[in-house]
Amino acid sequence: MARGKQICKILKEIRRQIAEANGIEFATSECRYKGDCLGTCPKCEAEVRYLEQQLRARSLAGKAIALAGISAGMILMSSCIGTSSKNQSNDDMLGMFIESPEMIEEVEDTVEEGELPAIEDTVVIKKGDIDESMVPVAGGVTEGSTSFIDERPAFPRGIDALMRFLASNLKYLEEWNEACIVGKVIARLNIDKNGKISDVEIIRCSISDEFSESAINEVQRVIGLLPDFVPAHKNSEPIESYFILPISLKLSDYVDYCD
Amino acid sequence: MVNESAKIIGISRHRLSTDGDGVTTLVAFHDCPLRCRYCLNPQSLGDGGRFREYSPKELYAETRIDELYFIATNGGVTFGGGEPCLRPQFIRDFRELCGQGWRLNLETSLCVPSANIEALLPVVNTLIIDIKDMNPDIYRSYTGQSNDLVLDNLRLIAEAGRQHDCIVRIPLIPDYNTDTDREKSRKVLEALGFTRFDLFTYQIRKH
Repeated sequence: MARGKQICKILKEIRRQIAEANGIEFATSECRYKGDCLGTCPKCEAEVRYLEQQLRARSLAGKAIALAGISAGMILMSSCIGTSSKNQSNDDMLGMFIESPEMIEEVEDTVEEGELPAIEDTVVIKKGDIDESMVPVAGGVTEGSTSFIDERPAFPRGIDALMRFLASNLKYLEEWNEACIVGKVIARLNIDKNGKISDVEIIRCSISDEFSESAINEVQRVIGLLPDFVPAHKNSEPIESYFILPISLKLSDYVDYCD
Repeated sequence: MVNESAKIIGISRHRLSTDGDGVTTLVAFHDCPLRCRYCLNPQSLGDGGRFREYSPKELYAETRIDELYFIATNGGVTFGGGEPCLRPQFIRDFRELCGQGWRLNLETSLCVPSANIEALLPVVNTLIIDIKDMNPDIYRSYTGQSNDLVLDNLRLIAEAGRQHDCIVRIPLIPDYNTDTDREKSRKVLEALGFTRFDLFTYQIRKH
């Protein structure tokens, strides 16, 4: 698939996640444009403006808005944690202003035609340890828009520490293993002014019905173990806010277990 | 705000996984102190007359169109070039305009006066440093410059405790260094407390 089309799909998925996290009605159709796609077009841009408008309206109505980091990690800079060694990869093109086909490879690898992009904004629970490079979890919620908040709520010692915490506490249950379940649970944590998790709402669970209850239970169990957060701040004052925690459950070596 | 202007050779939107986490917009400045044989953006060198000059405000207005993506993915603007660290005031002014919600990344050689890096450290989130090679002879041979400033700035970053915000790229530069040289570079960097490395091979382009 052409690079532009891949970018378009990923951006569309981000828009869908923003809409979903904020309860915005969002219907988008499959792009039928056949020419060279730059990753965006007037229709895509119009959808962004629509979302901005809806978010603004919600803000004005005094509703909390989930935006910051809700798609974090869907796009991670490759191989920059720890060390890597490679030859002539797409990453070599970092910073190159004239784009080249080499830059396409990674995106094409992660998204299959006709599918939504691989959801990597999540914790990937494998049989063994979590592959840290695949585990972006972040989020925060602002009141209105990001301009209304100075500092997002944060896990103590940062995202890496949160990833490690989840990696060491979340368990891929035996019953899921047998069924090779793959899916996602997104939780919205209400972080009060003192950094305490005052409320947890599961805003999405894409696990099959048979296992959704156990998946939600497991996610809620681990959320219950989380320490206090650093609260969001506005004008140097702590404020109540949300933290979006997307967790994806899948076996890393699916084929080995399911074939 | 001073609103210093700068020549920009290009703005590239919706960069995914090449210039930092999240959705990023690459802003490439004109001008660089180095003359690297395999420069990726040779248009950043020489006469910049044909490129548009932007004030931080103008650049902010143009990049703000993707704010929703930046915020949702923890992305933002990556300043490259050319050498972005030649423009510390511009980037500081830009930070003031965009606020703390956007991630600002630098793709830099660090071959700039230390005062520039001192000014930039408080306002940027990530530095992607192309170190070339830590061996001064190899560095000079490849870039035409001494790496004294690079070493000073690496120490400055280490003293500020910002090593973990840096991704240090250690390239294999055809005809200039070897894997053994790279290993030596890495050891020197590790001794300074840098932990995130990206080992890769320069792509040789025909200009």
